[in-house]
Amino acid sequence: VQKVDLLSTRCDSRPVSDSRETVEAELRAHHTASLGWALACCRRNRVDAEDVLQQVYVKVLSGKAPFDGRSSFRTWLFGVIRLTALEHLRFLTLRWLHAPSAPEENLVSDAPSPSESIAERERAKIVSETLARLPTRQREVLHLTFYEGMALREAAEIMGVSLGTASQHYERGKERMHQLLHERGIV
Amino acid sequence: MKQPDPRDAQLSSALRALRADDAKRAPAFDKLTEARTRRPFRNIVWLAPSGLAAAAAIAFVVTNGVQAPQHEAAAVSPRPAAASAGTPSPAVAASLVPRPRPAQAMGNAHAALPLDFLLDVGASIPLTATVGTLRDLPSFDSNQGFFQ
Repeated sequence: VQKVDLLSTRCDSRPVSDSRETVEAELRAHHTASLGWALACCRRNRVDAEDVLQQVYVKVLSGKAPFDGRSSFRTWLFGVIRLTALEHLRFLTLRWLHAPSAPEENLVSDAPSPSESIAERERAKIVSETLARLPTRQREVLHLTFYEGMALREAAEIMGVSLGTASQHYERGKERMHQLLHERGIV
Repeated sequence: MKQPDPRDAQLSSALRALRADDAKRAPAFDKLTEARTRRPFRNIVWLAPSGLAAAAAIAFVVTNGVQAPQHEAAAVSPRPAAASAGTPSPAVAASLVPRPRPAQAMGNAHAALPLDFLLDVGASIPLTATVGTLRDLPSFDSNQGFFQ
């Protein structure tokens, strides 16, 4: 039902953006946040996240997933990213069941850039690995609240769960994340 | 009034640092707005193992199913050049003497072509019963025939 709501053809009479240029400008403005959310939805796998984000951009710009204005553009976009990531992960699972093989190499370099210190990069890497170890719901809610700075209510809307459920995942996720980061010496 | 959780500040700091790191590594927006052309051999890569497995299975069946009997390889040894001269040396003459072949490969076509499973599966009566039935038949007399 949620998928139909998010990806259905335009049924609302309040289209916020009609032209491709306007939609593209909105997508460009949310590009970094969208990549971060795609990373959270893909267990912090950068290759998968970029694949998912590319599928989303093509889907939105070609008009297959029109924005209907029933929520904020960011909430709607994050919902589309989350559903596309679920489809993508389902495809990867089927592919693995068909022909299990070694995990794909990460095509994106993890080496620190000249402008950042190795310590900063190492810290970010540990936080990323720790997030990836959390259950999906806990990872999602922590990402939306701490990484994106959203309110818990908006996070619940994007995740497609009630506020109470999101709150439970939030508390458990915080507890688990803090414990794991403590073990790694980050906090 | 509810006290703020001190862990919130730590988590917030850690995740904001992660966000800054992700932003540095984000690909350009324009790079992701076109249909994917980045990894055209992706499907080939993941189909290759199953294709290779199928090819290996077919090769195994073919090579083991039509393997030539061992005695054929011995029969086609090249003839020494001295044999055509008419006076072979003793060593060559000794090599030309036919060697006794293993009993299994000699005249045992049954061993060379193990087709028992065909008879066992397809026949309604066992092979031994068939042989026994043939043995019980009276000898054939061309003047009298089987039915007297």
